Amino acid sequence: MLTDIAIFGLVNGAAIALAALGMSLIFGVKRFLNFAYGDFLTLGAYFYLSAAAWNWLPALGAVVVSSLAVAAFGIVIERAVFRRLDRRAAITMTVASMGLSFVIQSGVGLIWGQQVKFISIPTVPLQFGPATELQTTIGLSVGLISIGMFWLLWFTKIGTGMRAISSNADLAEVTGINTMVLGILTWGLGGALAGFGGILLGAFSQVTPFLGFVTLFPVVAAVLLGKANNPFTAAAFGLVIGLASEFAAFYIGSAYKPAMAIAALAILLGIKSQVTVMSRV
Amino acid sequence: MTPEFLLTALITVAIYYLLTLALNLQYGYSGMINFGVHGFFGLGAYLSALFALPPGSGYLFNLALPVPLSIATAVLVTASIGTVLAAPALIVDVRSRSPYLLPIITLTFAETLLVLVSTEISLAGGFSGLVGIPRPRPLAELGRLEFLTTTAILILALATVATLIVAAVVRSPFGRVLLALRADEIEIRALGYNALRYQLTAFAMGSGIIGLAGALWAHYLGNIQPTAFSVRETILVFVAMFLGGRGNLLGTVVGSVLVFGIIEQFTRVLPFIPGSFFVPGFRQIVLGALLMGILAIGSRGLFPERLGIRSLATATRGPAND
Repeated sequence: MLTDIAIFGLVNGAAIALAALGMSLIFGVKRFLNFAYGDFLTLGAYFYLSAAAWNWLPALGAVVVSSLAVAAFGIVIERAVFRRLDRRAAITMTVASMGLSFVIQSGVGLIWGQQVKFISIPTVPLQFGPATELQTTIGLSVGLISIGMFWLLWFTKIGTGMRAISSNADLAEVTGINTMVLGILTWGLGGALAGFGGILLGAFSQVTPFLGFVTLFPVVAAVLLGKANNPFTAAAFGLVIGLASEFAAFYIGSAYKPAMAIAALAILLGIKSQVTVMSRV
Repeated sequence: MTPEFLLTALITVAIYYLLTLALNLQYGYSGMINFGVHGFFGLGAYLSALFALPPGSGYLFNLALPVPLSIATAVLVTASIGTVLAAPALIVDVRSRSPYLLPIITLTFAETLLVLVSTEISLAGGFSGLVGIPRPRPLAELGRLEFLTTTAILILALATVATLIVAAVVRSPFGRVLLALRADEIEIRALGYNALRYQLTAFAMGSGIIGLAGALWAHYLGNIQPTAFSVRETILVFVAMFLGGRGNLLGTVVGSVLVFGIIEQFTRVLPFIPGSFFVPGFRQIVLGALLMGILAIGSRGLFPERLGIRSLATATRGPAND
């Protein structure tokens, strides 16, 4: 029983980790918490729902196409909306992303309908211990993507540039890094990761307009706890939070999952801010 | 456009106007972001309902308090909880404070409360909510139309009082300090003001108003479910505030009427509007897009803050206070 929960938690955590990776990327480069990121996941799942129905496209191709579609969507939105908010307080962008979240959730419900849908993805014919094929596939793909992202961020010029911007945006710009292009790329990459994560999550559970939204809280928690210039710390936290949520849900009740993630976040954020309690100025 | 329709619309707008007013006080004037508006809203509603329900209803409390007393108590409790929540966020020195701390704390509270209320049936009715919430005694026996009219008048009166109070606060020296704190807290503290006291008071006031709105809502509706208090409400209130103009009381009124009166009531006016507006979720798309659009074009709302106030806020601290 415990191993079942552990596996469930790991798979869940893997999806959250992937989303945290993507969101942390955007957070690091653009310094803003995208409240609509969960809905990017939802969008990916729904795109896949349609793409998988195209007979001339193999399922794997549908996965790729859907992820790229979300990436494109992210880029368009960034150009249209968030680019103009760059100069304003980060929290303004978050409020705007709340509006975006609204739009995506309703839009998805409008276009594809509110009923629960199911998708299936091509799975690797492997079974890892008590894990099912689907679970193994999810675990493997997240693992592979993570390795790919690691290579991108540490061994390519693009990735190094992204990490530089995350560390110190002004300095990066001064040294000649093209922040505009990299900003666009970050959104694209973040979007693609979200889309892919959404497809995995949708295959693992069900596809509803709120699919990604429920992952928002654990992912936000993971992102804020991690370091800005290393998205993998966020991913690690995401994995831990996902795992812990499953265990806690088993003991306390699954409805409390999102609330708990965010409660942990609130506590840790408070501690993490160098707590210089108000003293004489 | 029956009188009944108009009255219910009016009451709804007035209640949500109170929410927008409170948010404007907390964020528009004082710069404190509250992502948990729906939590305080629900808290006020549930508390007042529970206090007023007679014993034996099977929930928590059930004190059978007279309605005005239950409302007052709910308001006080909500204000206190608001203070308790905001304190840890505001105590952290502004120089090292994460701008997400207060929003996250308030959001946590709201979501946890909602989950608690939804799942624990013995607490407050669970998912199906509370029913049979008593009306104030003088209104108990009224017919539908008389009830609506009286309630509308009462709520409008309360809304006016709340507005006058907030206006008085904001225009007073107390309010000027709040605005100044939003602009540059360090400088104001250097002058000797206790920032925590001012900000906590403003936050508590705002929370109390939100609680009042919730309590009134509960007794007006007679039954409440947790689904009525979701993040959606908070987002709507933000839209109303930004649309009308943050930091501007007239803007709050106009924004509320526009968002809650006209756009929200879209579907009810439906038969009169040709075309395909009648799709569920279309309203949300419009509102969400509206929020993004307003922020993107840098509009300060239909009624921007008075120039002096705005430049005070942004000049010294830069766009961080935008």
